[in-house]
Amino acid sequence: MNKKQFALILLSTSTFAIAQTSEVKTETATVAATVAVAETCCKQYAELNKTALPLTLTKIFLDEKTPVYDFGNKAQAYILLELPKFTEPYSFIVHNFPLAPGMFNRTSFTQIALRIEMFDENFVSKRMYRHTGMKKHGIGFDKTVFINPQNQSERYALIYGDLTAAPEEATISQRDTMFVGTGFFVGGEDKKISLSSSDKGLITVEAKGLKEVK
Amino acid sequence: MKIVSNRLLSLFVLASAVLMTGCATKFERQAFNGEAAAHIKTITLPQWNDAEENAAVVINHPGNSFGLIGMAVAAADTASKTKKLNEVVPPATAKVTTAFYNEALPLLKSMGYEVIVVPAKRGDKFDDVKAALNKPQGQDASLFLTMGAGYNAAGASTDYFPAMAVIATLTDIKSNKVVYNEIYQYGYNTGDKEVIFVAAAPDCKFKDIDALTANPDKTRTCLMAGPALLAKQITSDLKK
Repeated sequence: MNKKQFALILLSTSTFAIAQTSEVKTETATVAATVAVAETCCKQYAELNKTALPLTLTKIFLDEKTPVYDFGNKAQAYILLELPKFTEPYSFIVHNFPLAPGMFNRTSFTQIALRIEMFDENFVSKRMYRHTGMKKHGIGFDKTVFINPQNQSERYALIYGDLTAAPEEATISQRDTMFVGTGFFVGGEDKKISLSSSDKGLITVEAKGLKEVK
Repeated sequence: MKIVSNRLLSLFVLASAVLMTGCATKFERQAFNGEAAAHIKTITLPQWNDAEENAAVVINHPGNSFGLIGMAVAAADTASKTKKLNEVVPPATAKVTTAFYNEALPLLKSMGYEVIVVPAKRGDKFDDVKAALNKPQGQDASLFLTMGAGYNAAGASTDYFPAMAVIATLTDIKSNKVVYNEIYQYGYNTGDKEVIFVAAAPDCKFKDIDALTANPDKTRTCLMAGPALLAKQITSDLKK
């Protein structure tokens, strides 16, 4: 191996090192999808609590205080997004971040097996997306919903978890940094996790192509 | 020297998947809106030649914690492991790039796209390849693809997983707007939410370089499953 080859390999290896030390930095807002007390509020969709579609990347926690509705399995948390009146095509991305709710068990994760149902203003169902047809981004279900001219009657997006979704297993390969007295030692680890379905957890919503109306 | 360049390109693409999602500049992923892209019928795309090697890389090599000398050790170790892998699974029997195009091109055509293939050579500058794709030749959009493959392990004592990364960007020629921009990763999962992950078969993992090179048929099969799976996913995402 000559000097030039050596330098190139060195460069490629350091590229990995640099890549691994970077972290995703995104501006997020948090919306409280919570009300005082969780209870099965309604007999029909029109009565469900609504939240305006956030225009920027927004974290939404579905937790014990989130309003619940019985979609056929049991009363469960949901978020109902109210969409703006259609003026031009836009989209929004829904992503679920699986969480490890146990304090001591960091390998048992829960995920929201996303179900997204689109309704018109009279709550007539127009489209339905199930987790089984969604891609995994990292370890979380993810869906981009496009609102094109032919979808302009859609005014609500109801998001909740499919509680009947089968459990899954995944391995995440990641950087593992340890302090060893003289400095930091960077290594790698494989984290084998289980993912079980839940109605609670963290989702993010991000609209694209929408302008704020002042 | 050529071998190193090819290895570098593969490493670059694999690293880019992490870099582009991990840097302060956010990777702007963009799903394809098929209904809004009905006018896109003819596309250009680069047809890269196969890498001369498939790399075996410890991503977080312990050597990298020990300054320049440690990094040199890590680089030498990567070269040695890559050599071992390619001795038992010769690159001529594991043409990942060719396998990708063999799957993707017929699928794109069956979906109604007319595809103009622009030959590209590993080592070519990306800007030159993009310029060749954007040269007027009756296309409605250009699909820029980069890809790299091999085996990755997170650390020195963790399993090796087959890894293939593809970055795909479709640009509308008329408006010069990016209408689709995604990173796909097969096998090795960093858990990054910006990356579309496609899993390998559960038994496609090897505890160390000896295990990785002990059963060449299995090693090759696990690696070669990647291009077909990613080609199917990408073309499915480009459905109109």
